[in-house]
Amino acid sequence: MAKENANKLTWFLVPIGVAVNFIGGTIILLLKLPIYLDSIGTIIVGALCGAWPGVIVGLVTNILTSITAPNNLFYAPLNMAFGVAAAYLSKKGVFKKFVPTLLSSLVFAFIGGVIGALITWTLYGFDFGSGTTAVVVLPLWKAFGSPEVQSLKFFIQIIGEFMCDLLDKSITIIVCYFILKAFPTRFLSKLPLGPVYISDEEKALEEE
Amino acid sequence: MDREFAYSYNDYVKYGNGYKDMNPISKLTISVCLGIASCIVHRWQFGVALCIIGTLAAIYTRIFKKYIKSLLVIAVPLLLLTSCIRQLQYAHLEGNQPIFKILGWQWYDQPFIASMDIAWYIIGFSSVLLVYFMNTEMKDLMLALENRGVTHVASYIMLSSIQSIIDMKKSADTILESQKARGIETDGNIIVRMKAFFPTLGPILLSAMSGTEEKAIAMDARAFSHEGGHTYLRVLRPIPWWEYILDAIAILVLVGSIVYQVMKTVGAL
Repeated sequence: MAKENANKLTWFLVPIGVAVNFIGGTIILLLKLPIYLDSIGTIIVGALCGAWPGVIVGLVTNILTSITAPNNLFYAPLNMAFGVAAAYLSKKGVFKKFVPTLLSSLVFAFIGGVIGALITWTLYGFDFGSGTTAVVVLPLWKAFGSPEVQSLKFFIQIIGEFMCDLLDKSITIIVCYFILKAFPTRFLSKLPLGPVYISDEEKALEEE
Repeated sequence: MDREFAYSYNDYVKYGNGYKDMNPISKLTISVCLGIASCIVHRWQFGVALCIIGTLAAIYTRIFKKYIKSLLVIAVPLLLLTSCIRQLQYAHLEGNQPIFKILGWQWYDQPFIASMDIAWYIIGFSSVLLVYFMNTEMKDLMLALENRGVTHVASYIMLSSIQSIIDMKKSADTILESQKARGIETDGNIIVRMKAFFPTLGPILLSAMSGTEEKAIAMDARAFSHEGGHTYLRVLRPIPWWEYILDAIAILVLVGSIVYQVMKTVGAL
């Protein structure tokens, strides 16, 4: 029964996660900051509710952003992968402490780098993309690239995507850490992965 | 009068426009098939043709202004950046023929055509999907999907997400104004602006999350989790025969594009 209720609550959290992804981006635009922060909702829902809800938040976010920019649909697997990674890391208790949380931004930036590069690579005819990463990728290619070695080109694309994603994901993950800390125990206990964030003292108090 | 009002809910959803009145799944099939075909063919000619079809559909459905605004936001940076990047990358490719000069910068044919192929297939894809999304109510699409057996939870997630975005945008504006009123600076250097981000997002998110529980109870009280059949206040028109034909043509275009690409890859074309 408790598990069923947790599942129900999860479905109601998914739209909130999607809206948070949008609002993060909107506030960033209002404050004119040079980052995206458009996966906070995916990571929080993934961390609290598990991989599938995280994947759904990522997918729905990209479907809805594609209403005005359909090319965003191509990047849906990226946002979905963040949901899976968030759930896995959450189960391992990574988001409970600040330093491991901060280090986990490397994992998210790596996912962004590899999957992002794969998508861009495929979209642009197995060549460099024309997004913001081009600013990093082109000088790297001019310095180290060789026209004969195609794999090196792809490797440079991964590095470019990783470097562009690292700052964004570090801030995203810090925001998520503080938000996860701010949830009341009463609410956390009702979510599938919520108990991970309840300390032993709080658990003992609840049992009493 | 009251009876007339009550029976109006039995009428089919009508918008008074041939394209808008089509079944959302038929329209989706056509848009997705043509969009994927554009990705597979990967030629600027196909992308331009799709873009023309999309633009004509936008004019017919009277969404041209909104459509062109969104399309230009995608198309202009894509065309400019892709062509500049490819010129920088492949200016010294063997067999390159000069085509024109921009402010003393010589442009060549091969990188130019390659960049046009990429940019236009994405623009073509975006064009047909923009027309689809701008002419289709999400509630109609979800109703059509539910009629085909998709769970009502999926409808709730999509429709509630759209509503949550609208609600949260309103509260983000209110909270940002309130934070400004109590002295938090939202202008200035990047660190000052970054500091304003946390006190704005935090309250929105926490209040939205904590409200979920009440929402879950309220929805359960309205039989949200009931396993039986649901009733609807909207009725979609049965799909006419010509919509099936249009869908079949779109599928044929997709199959044709796959065959074209396979033959090109194996060297038959």
